[in-house]
Amino acid sequence: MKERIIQLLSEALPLVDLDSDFLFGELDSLGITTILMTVSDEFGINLTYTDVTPRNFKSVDSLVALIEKKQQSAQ
Amino acid sequence: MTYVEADNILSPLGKTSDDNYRALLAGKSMLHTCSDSRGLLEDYTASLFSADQWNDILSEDAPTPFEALALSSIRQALQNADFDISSPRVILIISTTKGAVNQLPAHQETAASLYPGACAQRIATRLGITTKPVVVCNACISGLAAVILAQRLLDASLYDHAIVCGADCQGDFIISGFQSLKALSPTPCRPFDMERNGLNLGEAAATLILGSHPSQAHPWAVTHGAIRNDAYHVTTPSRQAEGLSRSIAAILQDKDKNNIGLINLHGTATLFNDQMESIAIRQLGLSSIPANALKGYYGHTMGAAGVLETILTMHAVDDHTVLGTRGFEELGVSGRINLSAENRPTKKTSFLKVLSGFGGGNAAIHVTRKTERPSCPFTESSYTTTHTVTLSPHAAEVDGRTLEVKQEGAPLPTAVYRQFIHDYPKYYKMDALSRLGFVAAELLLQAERQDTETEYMHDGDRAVILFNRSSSICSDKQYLASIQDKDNFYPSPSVFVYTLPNIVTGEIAIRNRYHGETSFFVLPERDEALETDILKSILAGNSTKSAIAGWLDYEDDTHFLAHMHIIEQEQRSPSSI
Repeated sequence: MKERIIQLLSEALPLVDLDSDFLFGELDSLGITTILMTVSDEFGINLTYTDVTPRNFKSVDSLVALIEKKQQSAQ
Repeated sequence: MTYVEADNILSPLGKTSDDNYRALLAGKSMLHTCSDSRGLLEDYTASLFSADQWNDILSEDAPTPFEALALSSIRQALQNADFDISSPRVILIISTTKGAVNQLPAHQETAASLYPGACAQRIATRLGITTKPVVVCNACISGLAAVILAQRLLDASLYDHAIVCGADCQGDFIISGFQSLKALSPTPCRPFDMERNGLNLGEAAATLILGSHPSQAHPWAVTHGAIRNDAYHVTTPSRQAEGLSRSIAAILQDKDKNNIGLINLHGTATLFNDQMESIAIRQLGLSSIPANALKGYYGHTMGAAGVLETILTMHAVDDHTVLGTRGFEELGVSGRINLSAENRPTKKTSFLKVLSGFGGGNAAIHVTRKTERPSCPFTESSYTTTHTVTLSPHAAEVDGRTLEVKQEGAPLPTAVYRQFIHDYPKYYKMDALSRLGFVAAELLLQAERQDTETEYMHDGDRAVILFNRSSSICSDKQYLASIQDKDNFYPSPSVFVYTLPNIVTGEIAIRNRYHGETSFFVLPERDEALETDILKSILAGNSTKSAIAGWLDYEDDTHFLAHMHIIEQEQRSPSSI
């Protein structure tokens, strides 16, 4: 999952440093919206602005954890 | 140097500054979940006056709750001040974002009686103040902008006492607006925290009475203040913290950083504001100075915030305390900030207070106990007008020359845009007030470029200072129409943003990359003498050398006027206070 997220976000947000220690700090509102939409579409979940916290967007690993949590909730 | 003579806070936590401070010291807050029984608003967390508290406030017998709130706070503060309030050397400065807008639905035909300037005039009259009041409508930074205005007018010896009162009441208008922006947290807010997800709203009134001479009863003074614009976006802060960094740097130039006990931050707990503030703190090398934010106790009290949070910080430093940041647990921003959820001791005697807001404005003030020598010599100033533009439903003039415009009336500003400007598509997203101001500014700058034959790049030394009487009434009514009918409840974030009149100053700053001061003042009526005094006081500072300034009012499609100028600082004659 992590590799797929990196691939998707590298294409959608080519200027964002996905390896940053604090990914959230690299993003603006458009970047966050792009991630919400991209990840929701790819993994069949519904991420909304209520899921956006610095913790959930701290790193790609944090995004993986968020997605997995959403998938489990949906089951 | 401007001296504090008295203060008051009136909030859900108490009726006096001391009551409020004691409540915060004990970690108390009145933030709670609010539900709308009509089903129009989503649940939200806010700090609001109770029905009993409102009954007490409304005993002031003022026409609107907003005026009653301000009057209550001001009268409480005046009990500890001693001067003739009817003197022509006394001015009232009100800081508010939306004033009495909650009464607008029932009074749209007589909306002029609810304009912020009209409310301020009634407050002044009830208090016995004989001079014209000024309302600072500069979005979230209004409170500090009001303190800075007071300091300038006092330093210029135009007045001896300034009553600065910040107040705002919450209601459907503001709550639905912030909900449409997805800016609210459903739970108590968490400034700078890793789990933060939005702000809470609050209501309060806070009053500072400032004077030209030291007060025996009060040890505090405001030494310096600065306002700078991000020139980035009207609702999103600059990711490089451009405006906040400049405003803080401006007030720190000649200060001893070692004596700064703390930095009281804006700390709204929105994703991007807190991130931006951390960048400013890091860039300026201030990461080791203790910092805090107080919106975890009160929510965002809008026009009251700057005054309220300054007063609380004075009381805290008097008590050798840096109040804890309620709601904070783990740092969730890029820049390192010295925050704690716990109260901490301090022996230092000065602090910085900063705010940021819609329109791209950022404000910072330095406040100290009167042990430090005044550090900012007052410099008298005068200015010359280099270019003038007048736009009304019937005419467009630049430097006295009439422009041949293809349309009159309401379409005139857009006709001017299409004929003479036509290279800024963002024009079409602006509201009527912003379009009028934008077009007027563009014509001024075209005239300036023709005059000088070169492109003079103003960075931090050009301000945008505008005045009007009707605030943002057109957008207010338009927004109200989107929320008034429960069967058609569609609050529009893009309309809501323009219900702050200062947004037009931000639009001009963004277009021209002006990082100087941007301010918007609402007056009871057009008063060129008062406008001149305010402009001179702004140009008397060391950093503003010119301004796009003037009257910009859009009451409706048949009543609008832009009478704006480019003004340039003239000879300077230094004198010290």
